[in-house]
Amino acid sequence: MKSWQLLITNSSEIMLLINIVLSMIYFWKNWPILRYFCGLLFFSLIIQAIAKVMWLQKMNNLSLLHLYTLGEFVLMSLFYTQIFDKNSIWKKYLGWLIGSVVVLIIANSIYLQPITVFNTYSKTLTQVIYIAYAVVYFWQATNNQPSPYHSVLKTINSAILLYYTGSLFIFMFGNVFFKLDDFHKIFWVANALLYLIFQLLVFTAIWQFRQTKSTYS
Amino acid sequence: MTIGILIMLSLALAFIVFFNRSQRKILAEQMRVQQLKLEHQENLLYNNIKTQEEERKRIAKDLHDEVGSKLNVIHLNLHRLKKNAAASPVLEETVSDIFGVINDTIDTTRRISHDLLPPTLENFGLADAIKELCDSYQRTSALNLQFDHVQSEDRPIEKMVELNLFRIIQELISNSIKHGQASQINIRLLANNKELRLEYQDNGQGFDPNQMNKKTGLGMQNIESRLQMIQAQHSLDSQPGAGFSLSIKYPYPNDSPSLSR
Repeated sequence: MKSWQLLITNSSEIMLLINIVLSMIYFWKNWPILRYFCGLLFFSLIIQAIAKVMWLQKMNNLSLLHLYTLGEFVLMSLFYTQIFDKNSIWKKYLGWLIGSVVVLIIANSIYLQPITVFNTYSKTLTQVIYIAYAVVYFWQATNNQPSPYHSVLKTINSAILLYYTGSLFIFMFGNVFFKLDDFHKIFWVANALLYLIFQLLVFTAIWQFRQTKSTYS
Repeated sequence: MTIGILIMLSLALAFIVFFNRSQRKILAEQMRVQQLKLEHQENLLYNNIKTQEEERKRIAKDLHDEVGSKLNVIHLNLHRLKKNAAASPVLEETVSDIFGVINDTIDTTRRISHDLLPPTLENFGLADAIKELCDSYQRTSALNLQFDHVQSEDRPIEKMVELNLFRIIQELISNSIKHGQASQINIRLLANNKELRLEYQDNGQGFDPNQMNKKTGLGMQNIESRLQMIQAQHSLDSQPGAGFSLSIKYPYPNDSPSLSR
């Protein structure tokens, strides 16, 4: 891997680590509705750390992606359950949606795409759902009176929308990329770049929270 | 593939920009509506106060001119009747009783009429009206009221401003007695060529301005509305157990003439 590619990949991981520490300091205690999001960041770090160790040991770490897809979906959905409008139709049926998709992800890993191959179906499905979550949140936010911390949620939501929209095709055609030898690296670097943007936006959200908190307290 | 990713990213970015713009527009519209509502409420309140004052003035005038003058006529006729009632002790006693009632009624009518619109305020201005108000409270209660008037320049003040400041003082004294159980009240009226300052202070129970109860809150709201109406600034200071103080600053309008030589 070239040095600039390594720089992007490592920077996104360092940003993730910084964001976990900061979100634990600012979000965990002060803003309980973001606990699932903090949990998601923490879960990402653990999975990435294990994946790196397995990659260094030259082991197939794709099984971790199956586990990550499931965990990520549950935590992300729980996060949106917290921030969606109490009376919205989405919130009412979110429990059913989470249950159904969890069953589909597990069924996919057992019957369609075993844990040794890329789980493109599950990844595509969950990413489309995250994009829908983000769009619904923006739509709801347009109709509601903004709260003091509205800009923080807006930035996190923008990060989610940008990252998952940008990386949708990368994961959708993940299995095809694997057959393209060196060419597939470019797409993973593109994914790392999008992830770095995601983490930078999360960092911005934490900064906004800190500023808003000092204004209102 | 790259084009697909770029298209998706552009769509997401466009969506975020569109959302931000629409939300800004909606927020601006909501702010405008809120502002209009606030202005409407303020206008309602001002009109309410204005109507209240006009009605008070009308009632005071009617009480003084109509009821008061008719009571005086009855009083005069009773005098004449009393002279002729000397022969009958029963009649004389009845006339004396009626005299008592009529005198009380005349006093009450005069008091109500004065409370509604103090003639001192109309004829001699704010300082004398406050002094008279303080004297009347001091005569009828154990309250110690100190009023200082420092005037370095004499500038005429609009009647409406004087009346509102007087009503504020009335409300403040009433609050100090009712809610604050104060025993000492200090009022200072300072006038120079630029502004009129009114400082009010009591040694009552005080309160937390952030946790005003509904009753006190309404009184303060009324005071604030009157201050807004005359475009005066104010600063309030109070703490539980540490009394209450209010400072009012009324800057004279630029076109108001100075009477100093």
